[in-house]
Amino acid sequence: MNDEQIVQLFLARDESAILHTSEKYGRRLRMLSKGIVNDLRLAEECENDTYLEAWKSIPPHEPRDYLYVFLARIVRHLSLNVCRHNKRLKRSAYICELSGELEQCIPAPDDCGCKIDDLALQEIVNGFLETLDEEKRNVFLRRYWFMDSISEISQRFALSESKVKTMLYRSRNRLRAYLNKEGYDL
Amino acid sequence: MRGSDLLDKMELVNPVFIEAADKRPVRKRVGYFKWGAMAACLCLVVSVAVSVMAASVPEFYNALYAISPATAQFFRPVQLSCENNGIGMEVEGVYIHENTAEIYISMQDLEGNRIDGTVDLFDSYSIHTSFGSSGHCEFAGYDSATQTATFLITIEQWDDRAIEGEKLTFSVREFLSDKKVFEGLVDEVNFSTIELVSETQEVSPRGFGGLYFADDHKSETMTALQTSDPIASPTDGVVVTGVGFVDGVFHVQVYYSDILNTDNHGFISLVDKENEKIIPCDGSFSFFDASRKGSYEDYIFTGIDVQQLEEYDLYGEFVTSAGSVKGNWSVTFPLENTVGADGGHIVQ
Repeated sequence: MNDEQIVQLFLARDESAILHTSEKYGRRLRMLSKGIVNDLRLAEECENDTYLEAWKSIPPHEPRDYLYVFLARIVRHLSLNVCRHNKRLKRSAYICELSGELEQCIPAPDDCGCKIDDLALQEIVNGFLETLDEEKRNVFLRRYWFMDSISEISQRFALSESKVKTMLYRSRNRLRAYLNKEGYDL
Repeated sequence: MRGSDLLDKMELVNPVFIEAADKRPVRKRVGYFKWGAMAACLCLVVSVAVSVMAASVPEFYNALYAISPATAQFFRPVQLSCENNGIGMEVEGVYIHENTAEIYISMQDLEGNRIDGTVDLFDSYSIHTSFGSSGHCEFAGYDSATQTATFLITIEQWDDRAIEGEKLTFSVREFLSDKKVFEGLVDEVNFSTIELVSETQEVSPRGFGGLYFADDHKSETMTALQTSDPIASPTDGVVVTGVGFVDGVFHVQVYYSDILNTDNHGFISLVDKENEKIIPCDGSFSFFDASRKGSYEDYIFTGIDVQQLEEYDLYGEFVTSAGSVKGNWSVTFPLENTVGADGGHIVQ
């Protein structure tokens, strides 16, 4: 069943939409979550919660062309929350590590909330990603979207770990410079 | 905005980019036959040299491990048992389940009775693996008939990949044994009759403990009681060397001998004679003696004045040992189950 048909089932409030979604994307979502929470049982819970959130979000959303990414965004969000609220997982240190790396991109980090709205930030981040070549962009996203470890990224792209680290370091610097150049005050 | 906010907001990334990043990249194919053959020859030469050096030169192994743990472990020869300084070490069993490996290692004194039920590896052990992992070692038991101590090493891998077949090296440099624990009143100290030390000395502390030093009161030099003649020795290696006030704050000074070799240490409290309530010290700082082998520790009690002193007894908890036994014990073994599903040992 293609994504459009699945989304149509959601819109029709047909519960089989969840079954089809699970059959098509369940494993990928579970693995994405497990990569973040590092616990299969919690990843399964996040996966199930994702279906519930999707059920509540479609409609109004109609992600016919990007159903997987739509679901992945939800499962990522849920998994991050699980990590932050469940100290027992010992994953908060890893999330802090990733947050620390990204903080290097922020010209003037502070404890105030984000000063720009999501739409503007979306433009900034996507504008920056467009400036990267495909490999750098994918490495950057594997690290900060999928939250892969350096070793996983190096295996995935057949690069040495030091090369991956250097690539990420330079990308972070470029993001910082991009934000400065565009005059954005985060 | 903080890094954690930006990490959250990464979810706003264009779905097209996410889809692209989630696709398996096409692996780059590199190398021609000629280069491959040359590389193979070079590898052969290097591997022979490296394997010989890794097996025979610990420093080389450590250096190689720092550069590439996987390579270092690859060249490390399997050695299931070893003997040094009359102490034998042996791998007893390996049990792998999910992402965890549990390994039992035994140590036996082949010449004397230096290993007993109080044996402590003194944080001198190291665990080397070729994969990202966290691990620890704990005392598992002691068989007095064979004078054999058993330790359990637990390794948990960080990444999602099989560890069966990978090699692990477990090394120990020294251990403590004949540890003794003293817990009780230090009867020789009577606060009603004791002569309080009034002189002080400026010392360079080697460490601080307790809430008293959590926020402030720390400095590069501290004012300690002047060391007096021994007042009491509740157990071998522990001497009370001063009781008195420094700037109105009550101090009890204890000396621990040869700490680097024995790990002698302890805690001091006061006990209210009337209700037997224990009053722990608020903090302590320690400093080396002139030989930098033994250590003094000034325990600090706030809110105690000289008139109250006779209401208290001195209570101590001290851990001492006979000293460390040094050596070089190391075993390297493959992470392969030696315990069957029914709990029985698999015959190798």
